[in-house]
Parts: sequence; C-alpha cells; structure tokens
Amino acid sequence: MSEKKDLLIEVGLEELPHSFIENAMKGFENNFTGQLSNQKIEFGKVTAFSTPRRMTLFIKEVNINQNDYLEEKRGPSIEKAYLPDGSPSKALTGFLKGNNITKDDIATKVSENREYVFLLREIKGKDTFTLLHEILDITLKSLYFPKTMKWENTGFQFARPIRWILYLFGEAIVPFKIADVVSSNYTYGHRSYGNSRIVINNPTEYEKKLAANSVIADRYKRKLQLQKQIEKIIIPKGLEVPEIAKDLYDINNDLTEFPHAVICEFDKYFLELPVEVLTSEMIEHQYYFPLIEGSKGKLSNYFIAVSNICEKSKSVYGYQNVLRARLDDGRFFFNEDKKKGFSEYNEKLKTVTFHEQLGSMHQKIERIMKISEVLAGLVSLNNKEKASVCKTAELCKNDLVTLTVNEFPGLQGIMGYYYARASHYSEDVARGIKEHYYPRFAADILPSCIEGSLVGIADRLDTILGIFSIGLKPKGSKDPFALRRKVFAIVKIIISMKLNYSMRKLIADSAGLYSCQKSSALVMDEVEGFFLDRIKSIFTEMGFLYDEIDACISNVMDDIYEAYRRVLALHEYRSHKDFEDLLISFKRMGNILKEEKKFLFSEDLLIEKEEKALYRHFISVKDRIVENVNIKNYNQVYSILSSFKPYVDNFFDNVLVMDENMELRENRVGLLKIIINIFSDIIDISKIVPG
Amino acid sequence: MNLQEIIFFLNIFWSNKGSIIVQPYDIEKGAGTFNPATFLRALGPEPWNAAYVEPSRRPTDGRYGENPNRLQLYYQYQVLIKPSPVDIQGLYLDSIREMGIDFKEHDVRFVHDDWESPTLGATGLGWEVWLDGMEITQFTYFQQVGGIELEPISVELTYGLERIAMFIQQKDDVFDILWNDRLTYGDIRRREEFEFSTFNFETANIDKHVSLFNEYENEAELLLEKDLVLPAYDMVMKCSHIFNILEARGALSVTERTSYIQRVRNMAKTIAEDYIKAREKLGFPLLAKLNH
Repeated sequence: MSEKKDLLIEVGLEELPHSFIENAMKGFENNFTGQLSNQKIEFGKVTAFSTPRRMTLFIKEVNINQNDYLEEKRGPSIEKAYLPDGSPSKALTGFLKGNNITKDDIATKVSENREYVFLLREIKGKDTFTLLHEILDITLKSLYFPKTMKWENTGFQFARPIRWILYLFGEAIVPFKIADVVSSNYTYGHRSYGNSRIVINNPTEYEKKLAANSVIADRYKRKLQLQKQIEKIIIPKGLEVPEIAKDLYDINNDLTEFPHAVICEFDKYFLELPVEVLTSEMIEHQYYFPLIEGSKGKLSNYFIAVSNICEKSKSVYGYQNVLRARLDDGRFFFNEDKKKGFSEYNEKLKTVTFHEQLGSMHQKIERIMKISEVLAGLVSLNNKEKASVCKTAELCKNDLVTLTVNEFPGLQGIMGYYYARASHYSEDVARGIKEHYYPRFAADILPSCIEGSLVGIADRLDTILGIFSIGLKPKGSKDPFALRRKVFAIVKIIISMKLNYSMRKLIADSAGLYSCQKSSALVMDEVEGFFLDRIKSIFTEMGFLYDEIDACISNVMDDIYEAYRRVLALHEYRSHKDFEDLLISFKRMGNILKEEKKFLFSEDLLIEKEEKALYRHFISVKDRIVENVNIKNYNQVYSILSSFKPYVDNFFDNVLVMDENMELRENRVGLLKIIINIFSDIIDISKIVPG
Repeated sequence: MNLQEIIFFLNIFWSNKGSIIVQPYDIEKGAGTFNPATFLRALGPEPWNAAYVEPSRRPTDGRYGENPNRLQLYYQYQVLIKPSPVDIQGLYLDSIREMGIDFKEHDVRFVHDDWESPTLGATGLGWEVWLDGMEITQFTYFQQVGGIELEPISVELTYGLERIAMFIQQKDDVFDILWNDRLTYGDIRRREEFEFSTFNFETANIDKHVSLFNEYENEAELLLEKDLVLPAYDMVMKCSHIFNILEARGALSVTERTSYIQRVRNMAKTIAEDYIKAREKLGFPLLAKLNH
C-alpha cells in the first residue's frame, strides 16, 4: 500500500462569465482526474468547488507514487531481428541501443499474427509530486471555454485572467507556473470583506477557511442556501417564482460567492405593461426573480434581487432604481410603438433584409401571404377563416420593427399580439401572430389556432423553398438556417391541428414565387425529397419502427397527416401477437405475387374448401373494408384485417398455391391479389419486416 | 461629492497611478474609445497609460431632456493602460471605494459583458461593473482594434460619470445631479439635450449628412495617401458621428446601416495599420520611455 495525501488545486480568476462555470468545472474535473488515471496515480473521492472567482478540485487520498507498471514496446520481427546464424541483426542492436536496454530486457511476443521482439521492463512509479506540474499544465491548456482571451505577454488563453494558483499536495506547495502566475499556498476571501490573503496549510481546511471569509465554495451548498432564503421570503407572502425564472437560481448562484436574497418592489402602475415586458426586463437584464401570486397567478409587484453581501438594506434602493429606469424605458417604447397603427409597420419591413438573395422581410411577407392563401384553400377553410389567416400573414412580422422588439428580440410575436389587439384586430389574428412562431424549440407548445398554424407553416415553407432556390440547402451537419427544425415544426403542427392537405401541391403552387437560377421543377424535387427524408426521421423519433414507416409512407406528400395516422394505427395494432403473425402471412402472399406475373380470378375455379372459405370471408367483409378505407378509419380496417387470420392460416396450411395446374395456380394468385389490393391504399405489406 | 469633484478625484487617483491626464478630443464621438488616446494608442508594442473625461454623443439615446436616465450626450471617464496591470481589478475597486462607497454595504459585481465596436473593428472581453444592480463601468480587455490582434493587451475602464454621481448623491433623475454645490446637471445641460434631440431626430438635413459622410470619407483616403494618419483618423471620427445622426434621423435601412458600418470599419482598419507603420518608422519611441 502506497502512502496517500490529499490534493488541492484552486485556480483564482477574475470573474468567470457565469454561463461558463458549470461546463468549465466538469471539464476541469474530468481533464485533471483523466490525467491522474493516465499517469497511473490512484486517487479517492473528488470534490469540485466553484465560485465566479475560483475553480477548485479537492481530491482525497492521492497515492504519493505512480503505480509500478510494465513498459511494453514492439521492436523488429523475429526474422529481421536475428541473422541466420542466430546472432542479433543490425535492426535488433539498434533497437536495444535506441532504448538503452540489454538482451535481458527483451522477450518474444506475437502481435498481428507475427512474432516480434518486445521490450518488456518493469518501471518503477515516479513520485506523484514530480508529475503534478505537467498534469495541471495539460489540464488547464486543454480546458474548453466558449470564448477565450489573452491578458499578459505569454499569450496564454483562458476565459478570464488567472490571478493566483493554490496548489497543495498534503502540506507541500506544488511548484507550478502558467501565464506568469506562480503557485502558492494562499487563496483570497470575498472581495467586499477585505479580499484578504488566506494561507491554507492543508487541503482539508480549505472549505472551512473560505467559509470563515464569506465565501461558500461549494456550488451546490450555495445554491441550496439561496433557494432556502428565497422560500423563506416568498412563502409567507403567498408568492411563487414562475417557471420562466427558474434558470435564475443557477445564474445568480454563479454570480455570487455569498448570496443573499433581497425582497424589493416596483411601482404598481407598471403592472399595466404587458407581463412579458416586465418579466423580460427583470430576468434578462437584471437577473431579478419576478414573483407571481400563486402557481398560475398574476404577476406581483414584488421581485427578488440576489446580493453578494449580507447587509441588504442599502442595496434595495439601487436594485429598485435600476428596474424603475428600465421599466420607464419599457413603458416609453411600448407607448411609442402604439402611437402608430400596427399595420403601418408593414412599410418599414422593406428596410429589413431577410436574405440578400431573397429580398426584404416585406417581400417575405408577400410570399407568406400567398402561400397562406393557397394553404387556406387546400384545407378548405370558410371565407371568414381564410380572411383571418390572410390578415395574420400580412401582420405577422410587423412587430420586428418596433422599439420594444428591438430592445427585446425574445418578445417577437408576443408584442405583435399586444399591438394587433391595440389596433383592434381580432383576438384570432392577434393570437395567430403570436403563435405562428410556435414551436420555437423542440419541446415547445404548438399553435392553438388555425391562423397561427397555417401562417407558421407558410413562414417556414417560404424559408425552406427560398433557401433551396438559392442553392443553400443543408449539407451534412451544416444547417445554418435550421431548415430541418422547420420541417419538424411543420409536421408537428399538421399532426396537432389534424390538417389534411397535399404538401406536394402546396410546394408546387408556391415554387413559382422564387426567381432563381435553378428551375422551379428542380427546387420542387429537392424540397420534396428533403421533406420525405425528414418525415421519416421525425416518425422514427416518435417511436415508430422503420418498416412501419416504409409500409405507410408511399404517398405521404399527398397527405402528411393521413400518413401519420396510418403509421400510428399500424404501430398500435402491431402490439397484438396475432396481428403480427397475420402480417407475416400477408407478406408471404405478397412475395408469391411478386414472383407470379400472371393471374386471373374466377369464383368458379375455387376448389378446396379453405380457399372457398377465404373468398367467402373476403366477400362478407369487402364492403366494410372499402367503406372504412374511404372514411380513413384505420383501426377498423386493421380490425377487419385481423379477422382474416384463421382463413389465411387454413389457406396456407392446406392449399398449394403453386399447383401444377396453371389455371388453378393463376386463380389462387388472383384470389390473393384481390385481397391484398383492397388494403394497398393504406399499407404496403411487402415492406413489413417480421419483428 | 459633486460631479466635478468626482472628476477631480479620478484625475488625481489615476495620475497617482502613473496615468497621464489627456484632455477630451475636440471631435464628436460616440465613446471615449474613439479618442486617439485609446483607439490609436492601444495599437502596437508601445506601453501607454492615460485617463481622461470624454463627452460621448449617442444621438439615438436623446429624449429631449425629459427622461431621467437617457441623454444624447454624456460624460465618460476613460482609462487605458497597456500592458494591463496584474492588479487592475483591485485598482479599479480602490477608485470606487475611495469615493466613499463601502462594498460591505453596497453590492459590487463583475457581470460578463464582452464588448464589440463594429465600426472600429474592435473587440474585447470583460464585464459590466454593477453597483447595487446598476452598471457604472465597462471593464474591457481589448483583444482587437482596427481588426488587428493586439500585443500587448490593453485594459480599458469606462466609468459612467452621471451614473456614479447619481449613485453617490442618491438622485433618481440625472438632471438633479449636483454639478458643483450650486448648480445642477439640468441647469447646465437640459436645454442642450432638448436642442440636440430636436436636431438629431428632426432637423438634421439627411442629404447634407449623406454628402458630408462621402466628403469626409473621400478626404480620409486622400490624407492616407499623403501619410497623414492622424488627420485621416479625424475624418473617420467625423464619419462615425454623421452615421450616428443619420441613424437617429431614421434615414438608414438595415441594409444601408450595414454598409455604412462597413465603410467606417474599412477606414479604421487602414488607419490602424498605417498608424503602426508610422510609429515603427519613429522607432516606437515610448518603448524606451515608459517601459518599466
């Protein structure tokens, strides 16, 4: 058993960007412990500490020596190593000399089916202490940050300047230098309480000594403390932190070494502003927690600021003042924006470029309006709904040129809602404007109204067609316009709104809107292919199996929603064991049909009782199948399909399709063919792969 | 402390730290960074250490003297030190503390905010310094100026003088700040805010400003051909300010805006390159004089 000591590394920094800290700490821990393992140095429990000003690893029970290990190195092959007389060749003597070894240190081993001379020697583990410089050096140099900087003359790059390094192995300072900073055995306390130099004699006393100097080094303990403080303030008041503010716990935690929650308030008359404006001001600019009255309640005029010091009374004034100034501005923007009628902003969209080659946002809007109109026709809306959709399309981007959205890009759509209402557009149109951006990310909510759905599809399809028309379609992992996500959104909307229409027709009718080098026929083909490809992977993500998708997707571009329903029905029915067996029987039928080109069918040529029974069953359910296929009741169709099971089994068990009599043979093939054909609109059974 | 005492204090504070106290540069500009004492001096190997007040014009921020927090002209206190000192954060905090702000009672914080000036081709990494939630200073380690990677690295501190005065004097309205003990900021500047807001938003002649921009741009090119880098840079500051006025007038589409920024940046880049060459010809004289 090797002797063990505790190890402590603290990298002291000028404040790290709060958003970097979590990943940086993971990287720091993984890189460092990875290096220890590579060096065959055993270690015990690892604790990572972090504050904005420090990244720390505390590693218990690190062996003071590397483990001894066997060094192995391949030399020349046996044939090349020895001359015919058995004496060593030049290759072998070179290998010995090069590695500073004698014949005693080599052995013969097989590698890649040949015998080689191998260097095999027992290496005594080095002192861990001597390796620690290199380990930290590699760790820091390979640490990833989203953005790095230089600050001194060695040119070393890091997220923020390193100002001290505390590096202890047991009680000894590990010599280390990087970016002109030399390691020591001291750290610093909280900035506001003297920022004093604190000597750490032993790794185990680090956390306590910092705590005594107003620094809670443990990120999790610090967060817990912050959460408890906030609860203590808000619970008696019946207030809650809304869902949209939950990230603020981590953000504030990563901005403080000694967090203290402070309750503050703003003037109630600001509550007249849209709630999103208020919460954006608080959350995005100031990292303040907005508070709501009860879990779904109204926004309160209380909020919580997080201080980095324990004395709170004097800071409240400042926290409130900053917010008041911001809300004043927000109110100014909101009122300025409302001075113009919402439709007047349309003109200003001419000055906003959508894409160099695809023109302004105004031109985009004109295309969105045309696509929306075609789409409204395809899904057979009545005139009133159609008018509402077209109005939504016309207005949907107007808020992009308002002052408020300029200040808060995240409020696009939401401000459109308020401004449309202020200009007396209907609730449907206003909601459509807001919701046409939904879903904004994978797990986001979907539009709840037809206006938002159709305009959302039109907006995305316009971008897809536009980008394809100028030859910038996604390649490999490169999808700068997020077109894949746009198809995903379109499909989600179609399914959630149960929209039946031909995507192919919509694309065909829209492709002419783009004047481009490529022929619109080519663009249409490419975009259809892109959709088809995406739909398959979207369906896969939904949990459907490949063969189910293949079996149901043949005419998906004629109606994406029905294709989805067919896959869904098939997927659900497949969980019945009998149904799976039946599918396999039908697949056998299909295989036979593929080989047999000729067939005919006449009832008179049915001889065996099993084939007669199968036919009779077919006749008895035929009308119901046709009817259910027509009304797209796929579950019913599959239920009827299931009823074929005993007849099909009996048929295959007792009747030989490949009869020597060609007439009977063709007749039997014909029977199978008419049965299969009746289902062919909803499923291509040949694509099914037995599970 | 009244406003002028804050300025006196900072002058003495930084003077004691070895800064030369430069005077404001007499051309309109959007920020202290445009002053040649920052933009040009950050370039090249020569050390530098300067501090100064800079009137900074932001035409779009004008509110006719009616908003308690927004001005079309305000005063920055700018410090530029090259190379950046090891204890610069501490020095900066001392300067605030010595104005009478106790960090045991007021929450001071360095909040991530990287800085970029597209017109100057300049980028830097750093923070906004928050005092009880209010941004009082921009603290930046320059990485690039005029599109040129810097070595050594300069650190730039930009104090918002009005905000600091509001904080110290506990005023909610910028116009209530005491300039000296008898006159307020409003007494001195409110009318100016009104007239310039009117000019910037309503009366500045768009065609004339467009042609002024072209003239100055043209002049900058001619001056550069004659190796007159410093006058050429004056023209760039002029162009940048005219662009700001055109923007306040709402005269620029988003596309035009991008192209104007590009034009200023191209000039700034050439000037940055030519400035370094000019200093090199002189043998980088401050290297010998200021190196410690």
